[in-house]
Amino acid sequence: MIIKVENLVKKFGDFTAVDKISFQVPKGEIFGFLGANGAGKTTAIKMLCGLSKPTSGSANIAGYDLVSQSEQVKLNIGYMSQKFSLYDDLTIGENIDFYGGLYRLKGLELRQKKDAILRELGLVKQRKDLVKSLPLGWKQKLAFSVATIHEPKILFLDEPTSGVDPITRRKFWEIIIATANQGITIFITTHYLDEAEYCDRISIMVNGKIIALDSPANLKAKLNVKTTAEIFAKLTR
Amino acid sequence: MKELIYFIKKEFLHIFRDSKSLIILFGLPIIQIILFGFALTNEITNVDFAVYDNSKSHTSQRLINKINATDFFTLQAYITNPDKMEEALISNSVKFVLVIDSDFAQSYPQGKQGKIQLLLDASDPNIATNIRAYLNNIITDFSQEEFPSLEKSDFMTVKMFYNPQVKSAYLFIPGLMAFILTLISAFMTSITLTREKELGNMEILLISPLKPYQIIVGKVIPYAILSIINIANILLLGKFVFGMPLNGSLLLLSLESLLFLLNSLALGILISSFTNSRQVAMMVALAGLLLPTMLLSGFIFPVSNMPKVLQYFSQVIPATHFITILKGIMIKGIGISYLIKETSILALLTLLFISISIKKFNVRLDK
Amino acid sequence: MRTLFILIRKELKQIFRNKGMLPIIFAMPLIQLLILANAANYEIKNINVSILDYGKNDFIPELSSHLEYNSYFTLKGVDYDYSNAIARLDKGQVDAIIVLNNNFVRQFNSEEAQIQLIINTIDGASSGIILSYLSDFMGQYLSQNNSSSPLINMQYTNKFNLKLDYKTVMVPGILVILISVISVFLTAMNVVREKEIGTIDQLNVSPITKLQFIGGKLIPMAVIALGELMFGIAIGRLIYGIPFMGNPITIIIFALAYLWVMLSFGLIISTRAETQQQAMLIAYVFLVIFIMFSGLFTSVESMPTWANYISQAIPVTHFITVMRSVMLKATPLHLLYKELIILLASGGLLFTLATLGYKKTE
Repeated sequence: MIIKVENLVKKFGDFTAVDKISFQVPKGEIFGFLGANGAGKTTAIKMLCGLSKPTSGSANIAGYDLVSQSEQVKLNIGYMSQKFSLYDDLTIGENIDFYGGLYRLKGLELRQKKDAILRELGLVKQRKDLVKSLPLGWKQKLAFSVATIHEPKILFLDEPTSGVDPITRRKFWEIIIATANQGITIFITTHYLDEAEYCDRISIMVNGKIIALDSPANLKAKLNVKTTAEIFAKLTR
Repeated sequence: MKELIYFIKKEFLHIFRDSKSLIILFGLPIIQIILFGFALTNEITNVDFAVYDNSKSHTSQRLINKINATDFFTLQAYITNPDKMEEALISNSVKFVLVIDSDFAQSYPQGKQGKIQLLLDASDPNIATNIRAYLNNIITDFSQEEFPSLEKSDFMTVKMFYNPQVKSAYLFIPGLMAFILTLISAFMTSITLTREKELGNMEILLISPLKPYQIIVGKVIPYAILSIINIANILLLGKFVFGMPLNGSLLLLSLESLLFLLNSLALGILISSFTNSRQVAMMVALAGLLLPTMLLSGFIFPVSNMPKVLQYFSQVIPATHFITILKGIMIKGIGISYLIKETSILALLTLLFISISIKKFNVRLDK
Repeated sequence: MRTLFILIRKELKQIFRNKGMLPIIFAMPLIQLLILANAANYEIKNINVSILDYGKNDFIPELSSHLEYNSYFTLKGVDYDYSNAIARLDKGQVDAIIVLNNNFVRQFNSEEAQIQLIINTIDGASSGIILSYLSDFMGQYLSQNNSSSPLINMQYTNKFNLKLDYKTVMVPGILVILISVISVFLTAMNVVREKEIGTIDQLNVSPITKLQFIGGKLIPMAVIALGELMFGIAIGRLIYGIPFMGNPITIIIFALAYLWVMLSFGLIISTRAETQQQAMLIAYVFLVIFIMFSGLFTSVESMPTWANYISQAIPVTHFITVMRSVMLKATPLHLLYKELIILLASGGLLFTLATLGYKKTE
């Protein structure tokens, strides 16, 4: 199990955003976190990345304790949020260099990685263009590549597809699945219910609690429905 | 017209949502006026000095005591080794050294001149000049006390006109008012307009049925209202906390203040018409205007002391004219007939700012 | 170390790529320095006076020519009634009026002469100086007819700034202010900007430490500000002939300590603010207080006691003192230990607060 979460809680004053969630994720799985806006998905993923301190509970990420070994955790995870955290005023190449450098890549290794990313995305010629000039879909792909530049064991994706058209979304999922096939565990939050089909297992969050966790097929069978949208409708009714 | 009202309402909501900034926008002028109004003066107090007394007499001791007894000067040290005099100045421990000649006590009572010397730290010329003037007075007093028969009585009387007690508040408060209003108003209007551009909302607004000038008016009116409250606060503080007089007409004062306000808002619009970036607008409005408004307007340093070129330059600083107007109405109590020049320059500058902005804005729309 | 270098390189690239900001960072301070150094001046070159004569005194032509001969005064006219004379004050035409009553000469000889000086205090910063110049002048003029001279002769020497030149003092001071304004504003906006565009999360999930992060923000700005300071001093020397008597190393040591304080301060604001706008406003509040209480424009000695304490708590005050002392008086480092201790202590405190204020986790 590469992610082990036990009774994780996050409170903001009186409000409990994440209420005692527990689950485990095996290596190489695509694990989906579904829920409406405000259900606590983003708070949960931020805790697992070390962006937000848990109020109580514990978690083990890639073999390290989330709280006491946060630096080791950080070396082994990648993160990408809906905001595509690239610097608009740096070029494509400079962004890759910068983030690669933060993860302690250097010299030949960094150059090879950079070339690979540029080739893969077909941006070799544009490597000296500012990120600002890229279309949204390309920015998103670049952000994804940058988030995996240090070959993390786990990749956390916080609503990476929000605000993108369906075709781009599908292409993006192809990349995610290819990455998972390389053995990288994917932890993804989304509020697009159809995307649940791509996940090996999904958990459904309502008001900070996980109310269901299983593979999409099992859940459908259990609840006797045909689509994931119906699962959601039935559970949250 | 109806759209405009909705639009203004939306702008007010933006402003009130950011409560921290709102507190600063209202609190800042009040705090600044109070803090600086009391702190800015040109009268010296507690200037540290040292004495090198070669006379070592009762007379010289009386002189030293008299200087030390004033609020202006505080005796820090007696120097006995002349080599140490310069070090006392270099190490910043005193501002001047008073050297009393050895025959001070002997020659003085016999009608000959007693000699003293002053070593002044002129690295701050302001204090150096003041120290000399204050000491001169003290020494004149001293000789009169010691030998009342020898010294002629005053033949000169002095009348400080407009500000009989030479209160520092009279000097600095009008400048503070102009300074604070310019920066805050220009800052607010320039960022509110550039924010829309930066976030790309401007296009959305432009395809709405609102006309471009309506958009600008709608964005600026809420801040104009905030600024009017600020002006009122500042004027009331000046009157009741600092005892500024109001010798002229209140109506005229209000109208001139409104004109200046309009000018500052127009300045903000002008800044935003030259840039799309909030960062740049903020830096120009705060960092760029800060020192010129402080130094070229006559707020701290009199315009008449500047070189001719800068005197012309100070004429395009709106605050210069507003300070003259404020002092004129509040202290001198003069009417509009004496202020026509300043008022028309302010009005002209305002028109200029607005017309440049409109031109810039239209060019942008054509693209 | 390599991580720090990568962070610094990124900041420098961002600064130099921002075409809108470059002129504000580099050109604006130097242009303002050159212009404003001339504006900050209490030295009176020209005093406009008029005479109000109640008695058609026959020595008016003589007094007029004396006034004209003196380079400080310009005689704007002679009036014979009060309202005309005061109208000149109201219009701001004159700074002072010399009032002579109708029996001036006769009374003067019988030692009861009365002269009245009316001083315009509207531009009040200089009214004291106008008064002392004018009364000196009148005193001298009148003592031609009267042999008494003062009993105590006070001679004075203006050390370090013989001619009481304001530029000599203002250029270093204004330079310090300009550099402080630029560096505090820029750092105050910096971190909060990353928060606004969301890149801060990406940095926070990476294994960089707080110290690297704060250092990566602080060092590039310090380098730029130090460069500007040196350039400004050089320009002051070349264009205005501002002396530099002391040791440049002393200035560099103090400049680094000072920038450590100010940049940490900017970062404290930035790590705590929610929006760039808020950060700018807060930075502005403090900067104006810093400038007003720094003793540059109105000296520390003329502030009330409570304001004196504020002034001492402000880093700008100490750095301006150091700049003046080293440049004009050649004060050696060991005589400035007090300022150095204060700057280092406040730098340490603020840097710690800035580092603690930057939270990698919410």
